[in-house]
Amino acid sequence: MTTTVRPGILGTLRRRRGVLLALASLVLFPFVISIVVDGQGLDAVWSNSRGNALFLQGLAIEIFILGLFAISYDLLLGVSGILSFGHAMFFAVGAYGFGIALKSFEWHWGIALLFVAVLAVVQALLFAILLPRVQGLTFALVTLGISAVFWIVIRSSDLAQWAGAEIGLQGVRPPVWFLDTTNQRFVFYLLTVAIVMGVYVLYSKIVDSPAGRVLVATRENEERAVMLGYNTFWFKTLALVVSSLTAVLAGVLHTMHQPIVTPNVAGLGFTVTVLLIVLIGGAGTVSGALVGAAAFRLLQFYLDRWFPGASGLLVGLVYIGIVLYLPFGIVGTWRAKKARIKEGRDRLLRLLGRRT
Amino acid sequence: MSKFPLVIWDPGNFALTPVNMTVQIDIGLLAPLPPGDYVWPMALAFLGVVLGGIAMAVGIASARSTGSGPTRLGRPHVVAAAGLLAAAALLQVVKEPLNGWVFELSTTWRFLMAVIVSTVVGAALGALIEVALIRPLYDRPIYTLMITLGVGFVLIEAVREVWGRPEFTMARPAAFGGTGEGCPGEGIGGFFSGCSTLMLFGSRLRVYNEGFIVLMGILVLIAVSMLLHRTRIGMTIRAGVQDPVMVEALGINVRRVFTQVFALGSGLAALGGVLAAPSIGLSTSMGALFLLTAIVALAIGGLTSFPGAAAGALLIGLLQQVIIRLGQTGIHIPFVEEPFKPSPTLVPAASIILMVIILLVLPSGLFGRGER
Repeated sequence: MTTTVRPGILGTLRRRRGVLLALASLVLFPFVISIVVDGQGLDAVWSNSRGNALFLQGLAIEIFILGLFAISYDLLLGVSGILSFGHAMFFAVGAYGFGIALKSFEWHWGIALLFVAVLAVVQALLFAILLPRVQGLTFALVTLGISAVFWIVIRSSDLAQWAGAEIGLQGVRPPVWFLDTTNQRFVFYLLTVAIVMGVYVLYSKIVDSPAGRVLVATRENEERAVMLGYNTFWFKTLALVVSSLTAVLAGVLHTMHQPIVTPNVAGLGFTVTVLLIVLIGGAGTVSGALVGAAAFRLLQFYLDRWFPGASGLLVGLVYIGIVLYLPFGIVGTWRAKKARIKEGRDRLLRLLGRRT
Repeated sequence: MSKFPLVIWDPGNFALTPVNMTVQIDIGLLAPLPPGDYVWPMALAFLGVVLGGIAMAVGIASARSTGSGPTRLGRPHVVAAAGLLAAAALLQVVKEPLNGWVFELSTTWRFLMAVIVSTVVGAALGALIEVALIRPLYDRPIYTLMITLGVGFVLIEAVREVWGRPEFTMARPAAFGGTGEGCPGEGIGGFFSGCSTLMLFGSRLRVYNEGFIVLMGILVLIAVSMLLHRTRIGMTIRAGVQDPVMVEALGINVRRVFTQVFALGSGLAALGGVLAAPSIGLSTSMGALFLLTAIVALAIGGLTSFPGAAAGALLIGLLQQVIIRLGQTGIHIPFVEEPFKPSPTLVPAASIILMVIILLVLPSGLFGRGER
């Protein structure tokens, strides 16, 4: 395969053709479902009439939110090699912070967004000051501790007035029309598609950039990276800040999309979920997080629909299977086997008498 | 002391689980009783020891398997939790279908049977899981964590499929359930009088919760440290942790030793589950309840240190009692009129904050050897 880098807009379009293809198919997806499955016209999508299209858009938005969260975890775990067990806190700070700012303080949504962005940077810096002090497993334990404290505080009755204790935060009204998932589902859907694709492009650019290369070097061998003259602390801090901002953005979308934000999004279980998603998709491959999120949510949803009651058991068994037999995740395994698959296809085409 | 329900959860008296009780207090159905006939600080110390004792049993179980390397956190803990649960569930099986002579026996004998059966089954389950699922993944630490989380999830779901979601209570063994004539017992001798409570140092203790569990915890601690430091297999375990390749070269089957260690850890976790069951009741989340506490206790004591796990468990048990006490009296923050009263749900946060502080100052815990 020739990899000539073409300059200009055409070259960019060519290099990003996977993203463009995904973008186009995701935008067309609700229309196709509306026509083929529901038997309704194109107008049904715009007017948000009931049907499979509306429902599947909701499911897709959940996948995008999970994917955003997972991609931010992949930057820490897969790319930089920072093992943090407190990632759910990053998400929950966005979800709760935005919801409380809107509901209890009745701020303008722009100010609320700014507020959670500041919170995101602050919590990333909090994690960053731990970095030189504790490494490896101890860092994981300390981050687990910090997020567990956050989880306990957010679900305690002391904050019930703002965060709603164990029931969760509810009654957050959409502040602006394009964040209204009930009445403007398609607009919200397009917004999340745009955000996810934008973040994906940004992340793949970060990983390919010199800073991203330093992060990968840090993951592989931190001492050597330091020897080469890189101050790995600042690069890790950068990764934490970017990751935190993305996770907080996912949390904000979650607050807008779900009628209720439960304290579970701050718990250890949610960190484990995102760890699973990253591993299913393939750690270190940025697109793997999105694929993993889709696989995770669809699996959970359809197993629940087909085997009500036994779904938890089946999901667990499928996880064990994936961990044992797909060691590099879906995208990782695909990349490792791509050359051989292509070879096999060529051989098949030759057998069929076509020239390649 | 029975008027202090937050500390002593007695399913028989209150028909409540800790979770229910916390929720009820949160929504105002149940008022935490004001401090009154409550002896400070002697009773406090003993209550702390109870929680510490339970956490210790779980913590020790995890410590044993964790000793094999600092990167393998999670695997033993999760399986420990699942083992705890599976054992407690197995207890239910053993209790019910073997009607006939089992029900003719006194609860003491039945309890003894349950302890033995579930410990053995827990150990066997642990060995099975290690051989089948964890052994292929030893060179990929994060994946061993994932697989144990998956196994724990599957086991808990399996228990829910079979026994449903309701919570069960388990009768306290008759040897610790006596009431009436001559009760409560006096002094140390009262421990063997068959009473459910005894008077010691002017405060009232419940023999099972505050006496028996603690005693078992100490016994297990002594037994395991004897095993580790005084026997040949213990020497092999410690050597295998240090340098598995070298030990293998000396002609010792290290893999089998690791399997045995894992089985021992699971068995001890199961023992912890059985011992905790009469005191906290059976539910599918009873393992998860102690998982975080066990991890915190381990981290405080040091992941590589065996007595450290016990010390950490003791420390957080005491700390939690102090916080519960402060929740009743209130903490006077300077310049604030109203004293701050932490609600019961905030109690676990204290031990976690303690863990974070200790780890930041001493990254390898209180008693751990600093290897990084």
